[in-house]
Amino acid sequence: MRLPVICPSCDTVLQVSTLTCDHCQTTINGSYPMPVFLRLTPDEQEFVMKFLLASGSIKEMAAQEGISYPTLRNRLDELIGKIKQLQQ
Amino acid sequence: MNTTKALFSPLEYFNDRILLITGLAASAAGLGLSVGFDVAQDGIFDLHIARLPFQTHLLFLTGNIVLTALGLFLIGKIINPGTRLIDMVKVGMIARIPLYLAIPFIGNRKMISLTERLVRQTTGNSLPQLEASDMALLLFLSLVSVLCIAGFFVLLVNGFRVAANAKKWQHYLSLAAVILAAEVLSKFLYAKMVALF
Repeated sequence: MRLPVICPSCDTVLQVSTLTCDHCQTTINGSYPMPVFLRLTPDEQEFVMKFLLASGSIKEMAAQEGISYPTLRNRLDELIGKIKQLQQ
Repeated sequence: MNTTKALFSPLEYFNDRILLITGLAASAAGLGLSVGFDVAQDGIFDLHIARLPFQTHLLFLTGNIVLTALGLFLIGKIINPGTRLIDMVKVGMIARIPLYLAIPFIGNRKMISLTERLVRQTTGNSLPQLEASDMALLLFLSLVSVLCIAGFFVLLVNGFRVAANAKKWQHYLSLAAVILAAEVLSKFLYAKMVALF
């Protein structure tokens, strides 16, 4: 199941308001901002995970993925741009 | 992977090792074709019938790749500081593949004899007499040449777009300016170098 991050009514970024413990059913209510990582698309999250698992090496990741270095670097540049925008 | 897209934009889809090996193999094949068919690659996108020694063909081919790569790298660095020279070298080598494919069409015996006949006929201030088969052959060669030149530019522009992460029209305009400058420079440099040898 995909975690919704954008309000389907007005397109505003959703806030986390309830957290529940699956073990003892404790519920915490509040208003927590959605972490930047969760606001990325599933594809972008997967890209970040793969980049991390390749020790942050584009060269290593390009070899694992079988695509060229500049293609991956361009995707990374675009992702950096998007994260900077989300942080603002 | 979309095969058509990969063929027209190999730098986007294939890994670095495959691209480098393909580029080097294609350059060696291009050199072999130039020598075998007596077609000089005496410009960034020029092909002319000329019987030249091996080292002159090698000089032209190397010069074309180096000038293209340096030109692309120069504007690539301005557009995106992360641009690598090796990517532009690969673009310079791979973009020439369609031009190599045109060499057997330009340098074959039938085409050479037709060209020589046309040159002989036009030297006496008279219009050349063309038979239908000659016209068909010339049209076919024109079509092949246009397709090969178009292929060269498609691979060059797509390769540059990926290697430099170019997106704006100004980037493509500067690419056109650099390629034209490299073409002029190659003509000038090759004339000087051939005179030296």
